[in-house]
Amino acid sequence: MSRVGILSLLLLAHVLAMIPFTQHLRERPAVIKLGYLPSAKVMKLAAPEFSPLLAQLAVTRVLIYYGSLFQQNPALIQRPPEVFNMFKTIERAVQLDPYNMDAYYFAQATFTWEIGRAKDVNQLLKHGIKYRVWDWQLPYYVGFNAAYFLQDYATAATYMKQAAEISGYPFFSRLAARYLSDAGQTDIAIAYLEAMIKEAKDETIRELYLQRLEPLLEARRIEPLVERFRKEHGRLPIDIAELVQAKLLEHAPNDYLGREFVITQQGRVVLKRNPLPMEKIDNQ
Amino acid sequence: MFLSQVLLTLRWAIRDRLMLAVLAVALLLLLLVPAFSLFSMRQVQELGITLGLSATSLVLLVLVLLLGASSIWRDVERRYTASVLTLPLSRTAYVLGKFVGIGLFLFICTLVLGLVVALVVKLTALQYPSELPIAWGNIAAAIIGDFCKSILLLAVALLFSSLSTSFFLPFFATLAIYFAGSASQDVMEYLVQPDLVQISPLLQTLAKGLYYIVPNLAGFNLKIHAIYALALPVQGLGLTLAYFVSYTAVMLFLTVWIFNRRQLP
Repeated sequence: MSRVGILSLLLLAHVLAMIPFTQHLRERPAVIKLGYLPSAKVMKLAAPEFSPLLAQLAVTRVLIYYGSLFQQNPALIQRPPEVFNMFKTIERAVQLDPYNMDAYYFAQATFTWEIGRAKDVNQLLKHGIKYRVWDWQLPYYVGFNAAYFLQDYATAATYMKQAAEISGYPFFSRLAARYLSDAGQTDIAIAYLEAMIKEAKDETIRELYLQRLEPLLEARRIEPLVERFRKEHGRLPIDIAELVQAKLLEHAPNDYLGREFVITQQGRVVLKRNPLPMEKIDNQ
Repeated sequence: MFLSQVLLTLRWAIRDRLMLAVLAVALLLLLLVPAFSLFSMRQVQELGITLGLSATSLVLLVLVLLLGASSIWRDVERRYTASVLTLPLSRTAYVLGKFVGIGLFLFICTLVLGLVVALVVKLTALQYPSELPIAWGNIAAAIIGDFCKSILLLAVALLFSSLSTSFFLPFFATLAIYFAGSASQDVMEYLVQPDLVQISPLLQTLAKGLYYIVPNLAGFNLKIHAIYALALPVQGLGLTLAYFVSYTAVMLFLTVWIFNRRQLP
């Protein structure tokens, strides 16, 4: 057989092996795709001068993993597999490079809303504030999380003041004043999301924020109707269905994931949350 | 004769086509870093600096290991020293000529890589400007720090090379010293924690002794300062420079001393 013939046969054999091989790699379990990152202490000892690079690689790996999940099925943002591993990887990345903004930004974008780990994210962000002393965004995120997710308005006001001092933007001072009360939470969240959408460079993160904005806009449309109902009946409606019965709404809306809206005791309209229990995430 | 030895060593490094390898890395940096930097969501410029500086460090380390570990012992084994030392060239001048020649080659490589890093950083910053300014002085300081670290490691590699008869001892010993020197500061900080109880006093004393013997490379790492435009510790830089000069001088003295006592074939 000629040399060209042998080479052709070898190439054919290689292609035949490569197709199932790449298929196998694509179908690996999520835990293997995301992989295991050794302790930050070990990595710092092994390659201290490459710590910023290792941190960035870790964040990029989580981002690619999360992005591929989100592209496959947007509903997975409610309960993504490997949440604990993702968070640990981000935590290790900031231990390797406490200045890495991508890590803080990703944590803020993904672990707060649906996953409900605002408290843990705020711990991470407070760690970053100690290093990124010039950055107003981290105290802004902490303030927002404290007010919107944790209803801790005193903390929110403190961090918004810090963001105002660093940035020199009076907008944060006004927010700090508003955070001292529960008023206008939906508007604040909308303003926050609109700002994040404007700044988002990564398409997955941008899409994530857009999808979160939609139910908030819907909530802002319904909240005046709740107030109108309260004035007319002297009490808050029990649920959205009561607004429909009172012919104030045409039908009960749902968000893009099919979640229902509920009315809080303060008359706010929010999505019915099914947060993943902490212990369930921690045990993953 | 000393100058001839320096130029001869420089030519040897260039003849080994190592410069071509460095230029290939520089080209790869130019092509890949601006593209890879786009993986970052919020710090494209910072990632560009990280990648550029990390690649420079890695290339310099590989060059030191290859050149330092294969210099003196190879000349001895190939009987090159037997002929060259018959010329009016002392063993001291031979060793120092080797050191300066390789050091000069490393300097040229650092300069080439530094210029490419500057270009790459500018390109990535144009793609997505950062809130932080590009701290050119800090980037230069980080590259100079890497260069000094390479020269210090070169002195260590030559020391092992002067007493070795094969490639393996100087190569792996220098690599081990690099890892130990990079981690020694963190290990020391861990050991001096007041609540540390589980490590025996003997081991602590041994580790502290090693801390002072092994070169401390932590001071040469200025990457974080370059990436995030942090203020450089001016006094610390002065102390690092003094440490670099004294440690390198001790290593060179020991190398010359050992080589002068070595029986050559």
